[in-house]
Amino acid sequence: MKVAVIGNSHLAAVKAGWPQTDYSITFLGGTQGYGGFFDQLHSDDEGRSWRLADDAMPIHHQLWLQTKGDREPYVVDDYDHVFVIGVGVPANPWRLSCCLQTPGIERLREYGVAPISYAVWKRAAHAYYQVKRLTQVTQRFSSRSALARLWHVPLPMHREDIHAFFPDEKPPASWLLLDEKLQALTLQNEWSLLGRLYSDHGLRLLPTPPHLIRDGFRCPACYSQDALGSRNFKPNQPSQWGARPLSDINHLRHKNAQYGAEIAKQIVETIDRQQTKPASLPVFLTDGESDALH
Amino acid sequence: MDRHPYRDLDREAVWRTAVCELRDRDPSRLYRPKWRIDKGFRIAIAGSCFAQYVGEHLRARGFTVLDLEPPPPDLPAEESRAFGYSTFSARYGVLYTPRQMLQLAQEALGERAPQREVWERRGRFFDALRPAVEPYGLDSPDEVLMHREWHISKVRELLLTADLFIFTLGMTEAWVHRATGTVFPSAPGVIAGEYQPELHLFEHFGYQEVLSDLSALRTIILSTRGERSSCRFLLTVSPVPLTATASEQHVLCATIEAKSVLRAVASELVRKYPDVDYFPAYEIIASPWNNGRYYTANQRTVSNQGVAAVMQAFFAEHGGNAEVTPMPPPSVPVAPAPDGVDDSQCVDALLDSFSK
Repeated sequence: MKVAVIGNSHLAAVKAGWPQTDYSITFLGGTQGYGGFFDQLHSDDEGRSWRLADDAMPIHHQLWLQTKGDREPYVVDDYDHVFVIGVGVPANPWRLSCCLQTPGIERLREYGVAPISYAVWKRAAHAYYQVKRLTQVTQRFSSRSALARLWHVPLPMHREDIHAFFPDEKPPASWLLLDEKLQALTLQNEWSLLGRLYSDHGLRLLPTPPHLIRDGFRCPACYSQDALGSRNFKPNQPSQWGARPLSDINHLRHKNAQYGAEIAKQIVETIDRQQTKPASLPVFLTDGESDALH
Repeated sequence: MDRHPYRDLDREAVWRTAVCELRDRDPSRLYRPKWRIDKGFRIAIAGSCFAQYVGEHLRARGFTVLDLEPPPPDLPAEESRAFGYSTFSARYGVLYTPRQMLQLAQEALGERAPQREVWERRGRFFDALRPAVEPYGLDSPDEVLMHREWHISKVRELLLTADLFIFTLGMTEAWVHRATGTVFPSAPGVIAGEYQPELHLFEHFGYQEVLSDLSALRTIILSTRGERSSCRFLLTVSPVPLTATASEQHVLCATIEAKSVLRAVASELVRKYPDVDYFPAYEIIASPWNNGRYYTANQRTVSNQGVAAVMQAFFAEHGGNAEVTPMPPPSVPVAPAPDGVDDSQCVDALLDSFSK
């Protein structure tokens, strides 16, 4: 069983928290800086394999070596399962989507939220959830035949007290008005919608585990202690974000090895489930085909 | 010299001087409003396809056109019209006939049972009374009914708060449900649903029916509002001809009949009620006044110049000509007319594709 776990700096937490498994794991990481890791990839063979572009900054080559362990190209069909970390935007229930995916969500009407169809939701959410970017990145790491085996793990959510440093990041008043039960339902509904949006585009989503979410769109502060970044791809390095001030918004999103372990556990469980009940191959849809659905 | 009532008529009362020999076809000459409309009026727009252009121009000139079902904030502007947003004052879609408008008002104001007809097409579900506002349908009948409940609550709010209702009267033909008399905006089967002769009936409303419907509409709105607030009604007749007719007449004859009935009813109401007025959009576009030059090549779609001429006449009387805010970007039409207004929201226009 060969598994690729690929990501930007958020890969560091997962790599640090990775448990012992029988799988053959390949990590492949980069940084969003210096032109962005995913944008530095180049294929000489129509997408069968990917390497860094000749003009990629040295930092990308360095991180490639530190994570993958060699300078060889990433070969798409080498892997049974692929997990891409840190590209997808997590579901944001603060958008208050009164789109009926989950029974009970229609209660949002009591708070003045107009119901919308999935077709409208999808079009309104397309830019926010960066669907185009997701599709581009997916095409780097998976062929059409291998799409069943690629999952997106969303970006971690910001630390729960981010508003102490960035007042505009407080949960909106409209969210705070909802009772707890409706907040939970809205959160579930938004993840369900996001999963459907991914599916429409032939993508797969690994939802953030509920215990890693606070206030619907934040993360418990304990997972920010000694947060890791791309500098931690190199073994035995001090936490990249540990000494940085919390007023740096990047610090407020990056997570530690404990968070990474939770995500790694989720990934391993997903692989195990696939072994017993393989997913059906999703159809990779072009934008036009997806639009025709809804 | 003999004395008679036509002896010293105003030049504008005589065809030769007012139309035939007139060099300056300023459309504002045709409009003599009963009362002024100012920017403080909360305006509700409804009716046939033409009404949406009236609404657009009013908004652009700073008039307060109500929109009680705005689009979600992130929905791209070019997509919103395709889903019935930003078109009229709520997402009722095109209301072609006065009967349709009356039934909507009755339902919103509690005098008609909630309409629960859901149409299906390829596993998707549509509100039979506004199938065009969700072109891809909804996931389930329950979802349709949930959306309708919200929509009706917004229509109720609209009817109780607007100061001025601008209705563009479009047609006198409709398909109705035999048992309940419910009027559909499009024939079953055109967008969704299935035409069943045992269930569906063609109705061709005559003068008395249209007069009765519009009078009842006015009455129900005013009586529900009671003493709390007054409101006024501005009627126009859409200059857009019928795309097709089920009346077994030539479509040109059916068009003239429909427009004549609607126009005559409008005049009757204007004479009868001080709070009802008429705006001559139909005359500006469709009469010999302009020799058809405000239609595009298909002789049906009103050109952008035509809409501008209509609104020029309106604003000449009610202000707003000097203050223009940028028009919203045009939507991407389903079937763009070369130099005419987008009628992609006009279900009636879909019928064009069904001719042999």
